[in-house]
Amino acid sequence: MHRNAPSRIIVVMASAILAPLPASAADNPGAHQHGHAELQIAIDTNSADVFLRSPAYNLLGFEHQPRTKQQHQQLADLEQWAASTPLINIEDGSCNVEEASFHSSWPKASSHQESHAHDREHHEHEDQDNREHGHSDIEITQSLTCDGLADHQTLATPLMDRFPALEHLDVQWIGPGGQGATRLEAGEQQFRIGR
Amino acid sequence: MNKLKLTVFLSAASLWYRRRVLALVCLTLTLSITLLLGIQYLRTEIRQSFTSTISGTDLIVGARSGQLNLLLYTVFHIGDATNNIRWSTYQSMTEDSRIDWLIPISLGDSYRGYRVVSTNEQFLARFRYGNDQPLTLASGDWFSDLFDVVIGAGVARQLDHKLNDDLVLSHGGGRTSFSNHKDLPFRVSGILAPTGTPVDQAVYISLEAMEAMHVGWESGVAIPGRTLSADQARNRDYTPDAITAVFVGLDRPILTFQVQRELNQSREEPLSAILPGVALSELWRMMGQFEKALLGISGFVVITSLVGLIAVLLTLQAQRQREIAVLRATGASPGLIAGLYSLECVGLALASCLFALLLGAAAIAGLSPWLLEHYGLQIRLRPLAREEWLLLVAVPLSALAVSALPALNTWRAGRQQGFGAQDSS
Repeated sequence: MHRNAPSRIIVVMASAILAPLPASAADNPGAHQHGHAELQIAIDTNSADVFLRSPAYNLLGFEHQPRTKQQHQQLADLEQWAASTPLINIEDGSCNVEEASFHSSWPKASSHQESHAHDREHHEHEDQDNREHGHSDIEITQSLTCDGLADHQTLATPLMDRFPALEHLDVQWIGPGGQGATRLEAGEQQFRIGR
Repeated sequence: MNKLKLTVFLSAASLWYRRRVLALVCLTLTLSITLLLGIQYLRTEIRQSFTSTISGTDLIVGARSGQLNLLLYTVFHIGDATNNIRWSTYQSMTEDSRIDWLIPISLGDSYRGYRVVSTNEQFLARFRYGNDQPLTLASGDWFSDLFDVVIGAGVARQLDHKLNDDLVLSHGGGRTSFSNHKDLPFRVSGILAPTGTPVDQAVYISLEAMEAMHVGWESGVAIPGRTLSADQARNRDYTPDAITAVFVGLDRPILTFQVQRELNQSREEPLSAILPGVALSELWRMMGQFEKALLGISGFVVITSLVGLIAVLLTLQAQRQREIAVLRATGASPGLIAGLYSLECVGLALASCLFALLLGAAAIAGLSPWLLEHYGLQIRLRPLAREEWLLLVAVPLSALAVSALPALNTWRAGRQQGFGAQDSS
């Protein structure tokens, strides 16, 4: 067992110092790197749960609440796209979105925010860190049904094509064949699952 | 047909005449092919051995750190834990209905350079490696007494330990430690069967024993009079304050990401939950660059030896003017002579490939017990994979291409020599 007293003391002291802050030590700000996004896929026999987290910049080109009409339109398009397009698909393209949700965490709204802010159904995270640093993330969750998904070794994602600002995508999966991960670079659409 | 027979006879005689040079060329080529094939083979085997280190574990949970660090110190016994996690966190995880099993582990002590892993019976019952293979005991039983120890196959072999041997564990890591737990020797109660994974290179005790050993220790030193004797120790209750990490198995692996997210966002304690398979893939991706460099180097070795082959063939050609003249005199067409040239080259390459296969198989068969013993690497003899066959086939094909130049020269020279006008054979 680690009897490394100094580091324990540091942790205790650090927790004591940080205690008055609303965010505990267990709540580091999430990493936020433009051009980079994460995709998690949980594969079952005929279905999959997919979770995408990306800086809003990669998907929209801006990281604040939409202000202009064009930005509102962009956001609406993105939500529409995320609700209907499976983030992963098998070769014959037979995956369907059963359920999708869309979350965005906007940084502190600027003073000239339009009063008729979007009334779309999207969730505003009260993330302290995002508000302070002026960054925001978009999270898309989808439940997919794909016939015979577990038998496929190759999956494709439309993300890299659709969002050129996305330079690399870290993909992680779990499924009947075990766990694995890969990194897709710009232009790559397909990846092999399985060890 | 007779002419062909004569030609073949003459060229065989020619081969025999040049046997020494050809044997040298064949040796060079054999060694380069062995190198190329060997690196490709080892690459896949090591990858296999590497990804088989842990299987069936959905999550590994430890103090907050990077996923590679957590994987390395929990599974590969490389590096040290940044921090521990509280026992209460472990207990709250046992109450989570989505979690099927948990293997708590505590690290930090060592036995003659081998890690001491303190855990419980779940380790034997639940830990899986390779293709979902469970751990088995080669002899003895899993620990039941407080001062029982189960040792990995590698430890038993290296230190020549048998059942019921006494062991004195050292405080802290490292091969030579000055603070030993001398007053509380352990007895070997079981020896694990070899796995070819880091499991072989460790020593297993109970969580309680780890606590008992450290009663009366302050700042890494035993305080005289305050440590326990073995009998005193057996009569106490030891609930650890902290453990190093937990291996988690879920009822439904599909929930892995969900549980991981919750653990990573735990408000109670900063935790890192990692997916071992994902972390292994990441580790392998980092090492992949070295692999490619190695493969590139061995590719160059083969190219160099093929270039050497051309050089030798061209030199030989200069000395074979007379031989070609004789062949032409027996009625061999320039085409046939050029063909013989190519045939010789491809034959050399094929022979080299065959020798390389034999050499490689012999090397693997001979070295694999040593590799398992010293590096914990399990390299098996197996049929060649598709990529390896492709590499192998590429060698005679490139030899054919390489022979084209001297063959063309011979053909041209043969035509210029003009022994009559017989172009048929």
